[in-house]
Amino acid sequence: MSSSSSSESTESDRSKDRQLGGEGTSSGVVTSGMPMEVVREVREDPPEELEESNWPAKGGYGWVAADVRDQSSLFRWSRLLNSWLNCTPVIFKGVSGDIVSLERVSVVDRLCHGQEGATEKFFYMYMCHFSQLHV
Amino acid sequence: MGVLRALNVAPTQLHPNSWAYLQAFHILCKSLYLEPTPYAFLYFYDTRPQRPTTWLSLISRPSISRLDAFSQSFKHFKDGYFKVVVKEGGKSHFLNADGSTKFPFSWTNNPSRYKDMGVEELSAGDKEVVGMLLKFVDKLPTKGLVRVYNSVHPIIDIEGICLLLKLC
Repeated sequence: MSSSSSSESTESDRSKDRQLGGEGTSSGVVTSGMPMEVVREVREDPPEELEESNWPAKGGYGWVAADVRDQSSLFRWSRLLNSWLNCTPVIFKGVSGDIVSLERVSVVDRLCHGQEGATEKFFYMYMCHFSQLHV
Repeated sequence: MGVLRALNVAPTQLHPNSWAYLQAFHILCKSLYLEPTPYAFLYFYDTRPQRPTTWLSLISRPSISRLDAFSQSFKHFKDGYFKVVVKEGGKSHFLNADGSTKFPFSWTNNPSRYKDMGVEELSAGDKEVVGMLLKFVDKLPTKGLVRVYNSVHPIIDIEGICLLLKLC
């Protein structure tokens, strides 16, 4: 009896894991037109950043080409963004703390996503704008 | 410069190679004491928005193009994006009085199509810029021009943010 119930719970854990992209790939998995997450490395991250993997994926981007729709960011973690900012002469640094702030991108956000649910206005920029194009 | 608004695209929606043209054009105009304007720039390019929506590229009009293609590879630009959040002090730079944004902050499904823009569509100021640039016989190196930007403004590039703000 007890062995059966424990195996049930394992099974449900496993299926949840699969749903979240437990195959260990970093590419987005498209389920019924909506991009789904998530990358394994997330598990090493602080709880609040980890928690985002349970946020629902945003829908309504059928007009965007699939490769854009699934495009997540390298900068899902503040410490990665900060270490890049430290070694790149990004113009915003020190010049304009009150004008803009540069922030990481949450795990569920995609390049083409809009402002849904955001409390502050934002846009995205590429690191190459600064590292190669000197924008 | 309002190019993003004229194209109706978000900053990440314009392909980095096209951003390179924009940067080079800006440098070129500044070095010639010309005021860069969106339509003087766009005069040299066509756009062909795709469906479904993908990165928008500027296509040089072969007969009049004065900037060569930016040769740097941008193979890995796609996942290197981060969020620029507008703080209280930045609102006047990025937002209109009614709270709308001065250029698209997010990807749009209807970028503007430009094809063989005629000189007659340009303002007097635009015509002056275009006329001056057309006097150049040879193609100019986009990559070299963009590099100039870096050598003139070494580390903290205060003009960089000004350029970004000029997009507004």
